[in-house]
Amino acid sequence: MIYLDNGATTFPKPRSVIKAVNEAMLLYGANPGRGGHSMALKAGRKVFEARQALSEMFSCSSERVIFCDNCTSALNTAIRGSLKKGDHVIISSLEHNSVLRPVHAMKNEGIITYDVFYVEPHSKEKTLANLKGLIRKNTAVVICTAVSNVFGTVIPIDEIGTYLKSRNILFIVDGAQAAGSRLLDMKKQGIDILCLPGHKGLMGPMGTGVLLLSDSAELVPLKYGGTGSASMSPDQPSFYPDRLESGTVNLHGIAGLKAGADFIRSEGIGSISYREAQLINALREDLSVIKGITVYSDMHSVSDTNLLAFNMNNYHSEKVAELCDKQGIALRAGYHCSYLAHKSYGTEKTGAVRVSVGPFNTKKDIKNLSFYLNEIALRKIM
Amino acid sequence: MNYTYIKFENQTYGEKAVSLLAGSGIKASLRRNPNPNHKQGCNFALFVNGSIWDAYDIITKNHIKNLGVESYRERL
Repeated sequence: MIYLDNGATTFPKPRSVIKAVNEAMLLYGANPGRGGHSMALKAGRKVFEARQALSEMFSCSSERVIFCDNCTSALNTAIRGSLKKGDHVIISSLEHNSVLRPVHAMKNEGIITYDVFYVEPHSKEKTLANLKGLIRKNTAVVICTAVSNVFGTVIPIDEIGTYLKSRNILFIVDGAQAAGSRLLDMKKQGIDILCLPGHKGLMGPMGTGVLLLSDSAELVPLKYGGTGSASMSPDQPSFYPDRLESGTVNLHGIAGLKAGADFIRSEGIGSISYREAQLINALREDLSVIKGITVYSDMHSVSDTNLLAFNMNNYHSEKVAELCDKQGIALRAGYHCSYLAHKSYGTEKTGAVRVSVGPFNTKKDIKNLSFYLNEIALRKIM
Repeated sequence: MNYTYIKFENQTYGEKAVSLLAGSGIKASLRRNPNPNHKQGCNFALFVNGSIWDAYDIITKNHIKNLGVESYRERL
């Protein structure tokens, strides 16, 4: 199988990740932060080491690294926990449903109102102007993805973060497609809350997600319950991570996530990002000579992301992915849980085929894909 | 036997202190608090190999949240 669906989850995982998960299950699988016996303390220490690694990677305090089930869970905690009745929210036109749906639900519940700012794919200035035009007196939060999960469009989060700081508006970033393949620095980029999946670019196992808070960000918990601390109080602890981390955490997953983060740091984000963009640009070049293919991602410039979306004339995106699957190539077609992004690019009728590469893909993988896409275009494969 | 230790609400703060102190050449170990009280419930105790007040000074200067220094006499 040539795996080109790394935007959904990265595969394969580094050996070190598999080893770390195994060790956690075999050697120190006690409940972290609870009991006082050596195994529980060791488990707690491993969880702390993961917090520390992630805090260094994304520039925040280690106690403000909150482990969640996935990025959706982190986003829901951030969105529900930061908004109150009467607030106005602005989201980008490229948001995943994990941002749109919780915001839309809160609007339907009569708690908030929201607007969508249009991301101009090739103009940071116009994108920022579109956002500025929607700011109201009661705008409390702006939420946007760092990179579109469908088209690879890069949102100018540095500029947005700087502007929002000057307006004292909370900035929540969905780093689902960016973490591990692009530099994300909460302090430098003015990000108040960063939400990440553990199983995509960070190379960890599924069932892991991370919510990172700046020193000034405060959230009302979404979940209440046992934290292993302040146990004689009926109140949820006010300190982090306990405030937002009720219930037993996914120790095995977190151990794997730490190993994944270490892998990324040792390879270097810059180096991974460069290699992945090279593959995507090689694919773009190949696709440009295949008749009937429309590439949507960054049509006017070379890409610096790890994904690309396209369609083929006379084929629904799902059919293209199905034909590729028969040749042993895994792609993701359809709507990618992103109504807004497809609406924004005019692909709401057909969806699109997404190719997303990871650290283990090679030029040969891309050449094979290009070859089969050409065969499909020539109707040699049906 | 008398014990003196620095108390932390959770293991996260305690481990952060261990890591910080190690950077200053102070060895410390973290355990569950052997003497929890009914108001605070479960928490963690940091035992320092050396001056506890030097360690406490470093921890507070670096804004690591803690519940202060506590002494405990073990009853056998």
